[in-house]
Amino acid sequence: MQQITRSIYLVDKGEVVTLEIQAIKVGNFASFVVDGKSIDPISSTPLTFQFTVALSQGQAHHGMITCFFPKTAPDDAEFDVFVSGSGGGGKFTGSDILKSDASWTRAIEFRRPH
Amino acid sequence: MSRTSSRPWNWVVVNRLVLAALLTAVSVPSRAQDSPANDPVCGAGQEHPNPSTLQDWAFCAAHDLVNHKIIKKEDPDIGQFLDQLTILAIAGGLKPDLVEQKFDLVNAQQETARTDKQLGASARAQGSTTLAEKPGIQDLLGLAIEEGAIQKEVNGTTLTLSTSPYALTAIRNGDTASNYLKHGDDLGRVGISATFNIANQEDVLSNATRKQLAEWAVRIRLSGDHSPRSKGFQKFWDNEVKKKLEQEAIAITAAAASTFQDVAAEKRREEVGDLLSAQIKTLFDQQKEQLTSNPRQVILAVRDQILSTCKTEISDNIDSFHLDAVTKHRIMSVTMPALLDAHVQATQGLKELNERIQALQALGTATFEYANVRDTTSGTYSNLKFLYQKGSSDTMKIVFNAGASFYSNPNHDLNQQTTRDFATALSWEGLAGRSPLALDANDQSQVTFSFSGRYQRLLENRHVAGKKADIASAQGKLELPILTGASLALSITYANADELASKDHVRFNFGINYDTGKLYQLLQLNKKKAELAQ
Repeated sequence: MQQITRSIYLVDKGEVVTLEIQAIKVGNFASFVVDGKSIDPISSTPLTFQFTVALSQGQAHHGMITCFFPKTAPDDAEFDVFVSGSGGGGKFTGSDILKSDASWTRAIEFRRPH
Repeated sequence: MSRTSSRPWNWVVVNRLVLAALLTAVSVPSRAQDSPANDPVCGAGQEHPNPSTLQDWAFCAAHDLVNHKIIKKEDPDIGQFLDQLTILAIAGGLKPDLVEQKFDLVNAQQETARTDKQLGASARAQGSTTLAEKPGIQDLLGLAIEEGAIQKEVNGTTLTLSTSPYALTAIRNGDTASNYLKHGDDLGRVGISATFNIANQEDVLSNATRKQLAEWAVRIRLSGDHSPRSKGFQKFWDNEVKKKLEQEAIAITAAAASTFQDVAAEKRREEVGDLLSAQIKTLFDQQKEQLTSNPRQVILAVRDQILSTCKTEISDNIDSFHLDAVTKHRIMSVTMPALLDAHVQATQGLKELNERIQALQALGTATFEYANVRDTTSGTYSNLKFLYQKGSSDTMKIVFNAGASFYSNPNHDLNQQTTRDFATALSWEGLAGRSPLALDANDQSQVTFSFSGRYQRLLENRHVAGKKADIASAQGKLELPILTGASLALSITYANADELASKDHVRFNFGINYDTGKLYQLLQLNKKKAELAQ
């Protein structure tokens, strides 16, 4: 896996992508969806999701993270996202979502290069 | 996705109105927002009356890119919003008949009650009232983590340091959901505090010595964890709400996956993303100074750039995506209705979440406290106390205390016996909104008020001339934040006596309280802004 930006990653076919969402000062109120399908977490400590890349060259998996902050959460509460792939490359810091953001939704895409 | 017959008869009409509003947004000329109060919020997690339009998403993307540049020093990454923007821009570019009709959005808005975004800080429950103590254990705030998980509070002539075993685990693991799920409901039940008399006002922490120790206390929460971080609330989210909030993401990513399945369409999408990314980077570079002096100007400039590019590169240039008729039809007949339905589900999910949070707040919190008091006049004694707090509404709560004190070595010359006193107190506390005197726009400190009553039966005062055994008092208190991290506390108290004299009196007190944790957070934010300006 290679990181292009916080929201764009290059992946290989068959690679297993792991996405962790670390909730800070707030509960695990986050979900992850890829290509219209909800992904069930494999762990809640931290909230962890996995899926396998099934793309032809030039295509992309379209993911989206949806979060929620209760009004009672402190202003500096946030969700931090970390991304890694079974093909190596390391663990990357992805998007982070702050309570002060206007949107608590973030797109994330996994491209298979041409 | 199914429509139920229980929905109002005009549901389909409303759907068409909102769908039209969604689609027409792309052709509406961009305009400056009237004021920040009218700023949109976007996505399923935020409350908003109508589904997010392209214009809304453009603003939200711009807002969050600027927000992250200021707070986290992150370079702008439009990829986080690209699927939302491209799908809505393509839908707008398909120009269905609905787009050309004139619809009044107000009709649709009447169907849903607006709940504006909560931007403000949840007010910190201000320090314990004089007459009734709150049962809550000090949570992790500001300096607590930074200074080794210790909470510091200076109130008049005393310094109180408090912590909990949970705070110690958070030093190592962070105050994360994972750590809270592991330790929040056991270690988080316990709180420890020590209060010191202040002799050195210059360096208050230097007073934290054994000699200056006035009181130490241990608290144990008896009731369950009623916070939104509890396991029970997490289960409610997982089982009842998560599915409702993720429908929007399902609709958008499903549309993106099918629309850009063709390599040529995907390549074109990536080109638009690259173009937007370069344009926004240029804007950030050009308006570097405004990022700190006038971030709103940057937000509006980025928003307008996003809308302009979406129009010229996507909506007005649909053919460049080489979409077939089936894909176009799917966007209009499947994706757009799915987004409307997702908005309805998210609204319902958020309503259920807020109702559950309110229900949790209404549940009482019971705590048992043991305190060891080192009184210079009457000697050392132990105080056992039951504390109960219950929210009566979003902004009101009732606090009740009852307890008894015992001397370990009663001084019979002072008429003392093992039992020192019995006491009970009742307090009604509330929030009165953001302080009108707060100068910093980031400071959302709340004005708080309370009315309290206390009764104490002090046994050593029985049959002593000039003293009363039955002491009653009533107090009204107002705390008004005046500067960042500082507030003016005003109170008026009537008492029929005090522990030393039987004379009734009315006392008016005022003082300045400092919340160092709040001050630290705001200083950090301002520091980041200043660093950004350099």
